Amino acid sequence: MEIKSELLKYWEDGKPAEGYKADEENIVKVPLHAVEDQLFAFIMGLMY
Amino acid sequence: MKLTAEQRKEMIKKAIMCEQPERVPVISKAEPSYAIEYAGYDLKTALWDPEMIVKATDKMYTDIYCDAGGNMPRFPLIYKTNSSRAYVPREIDDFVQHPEVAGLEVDEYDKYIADPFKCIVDTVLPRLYPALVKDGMEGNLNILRAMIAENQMKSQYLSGMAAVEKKHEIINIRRGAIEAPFDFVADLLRGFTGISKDVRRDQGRLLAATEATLPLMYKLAKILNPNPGTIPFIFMPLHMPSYMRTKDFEKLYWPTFKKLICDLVADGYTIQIFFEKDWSRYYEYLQELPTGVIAYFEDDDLGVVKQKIGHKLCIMGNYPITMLRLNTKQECIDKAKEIVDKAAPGGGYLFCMDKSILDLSDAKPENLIAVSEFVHEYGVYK
Repeated sequence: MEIKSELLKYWEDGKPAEGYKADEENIVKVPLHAVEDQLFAFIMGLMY
Repeated sequence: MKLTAEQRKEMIKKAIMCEQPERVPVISKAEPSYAIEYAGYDLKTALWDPEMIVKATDKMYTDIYCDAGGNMPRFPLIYKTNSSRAYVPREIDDFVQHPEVAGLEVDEYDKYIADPFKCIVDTVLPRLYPALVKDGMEGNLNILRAMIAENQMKSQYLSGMAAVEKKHEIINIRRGAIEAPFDFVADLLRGFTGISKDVRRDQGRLLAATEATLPLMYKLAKILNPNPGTIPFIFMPLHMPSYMRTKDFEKLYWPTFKKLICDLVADGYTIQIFFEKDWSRYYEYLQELPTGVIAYFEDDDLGVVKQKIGHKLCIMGNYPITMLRLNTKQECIDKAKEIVDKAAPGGGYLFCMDKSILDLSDAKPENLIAVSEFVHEYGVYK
């Protein structure tokens, strides 16, 4: 059950984040995703 | 007899999984605002000072028996800095209130369904939190202020509470709160008035909106409570079903709600669901929910609930806090005995009030102390 939003910039399979190469996934993907997750949770927290 | 944290955790886990523990666990529903008044502090002063709330809770846990608690106050600093129209500190004491609001117009449903998160950011937040979208840097600074305020208040409170819980060996059983998808659409998006019209005039788009909301709630649960387990559980208060027709509930509310619960329980989570008001029309549906749900009832008779769903779901609640306010100590104890006798046999039961105790006028402390101690002593499985 994944959500996709134009605003959440996750590193999608086969589509590295801007400025990074595919083989750098293991370095940057988890920290980048953690930021997007916390951004999502903060905004959703405003709705509860 | 005082129990250790480990003993308490084990008996709560057993009860949640519908097994029989050694005792009936006593769950506190006394909110921080009650603790503040009980400790004799000024409510407004303490709501701005997490350390004061922690001290008040320390006193409450010293005097009033419980095995577990857990909550997150609504801090006025957070709502002052984000200028919320949805949650507003009241003038007299800064206790946060939730007025009726609507962040989404009926003709904006399609936009929400296409990308709900984007729609919340672009359309809903500017209406509910106008300070966060002020032109230029001011809006950006206000977002930062809101984030800093939230981080400051919650981190101070949680670290202080962790120490108090450790001191008293009381289990914090709650981590994170989410909503049923329908309630999410109802509460801050369409409001009670708007959703009531949509149920009659636009069921197709309302249903699509709940389906679009489902993955948001699933994702939010996983972020707020990243380690699945029996405790701490995720809290979910249900708002709209007692105001709906059964046929509308079945079509619009139940499918996404059930899927959300079943998927999270399958992932290893426990969900405490607060079934607000009277749920007797819906027992047949509740039988489809999996073990791993803590069914917390407000108005429903726990004797009936035990019979209908007690074999599968852990049950709690229904002790009327109005009695703690209005009745004698003995009458309060008699009521506790009546409920424990109905709900406890065989296990799968947590003792708890029918709703949160918000302030001293809700419950006389001497009655709350007497009831909590009685259940702890009486609720022993032989």
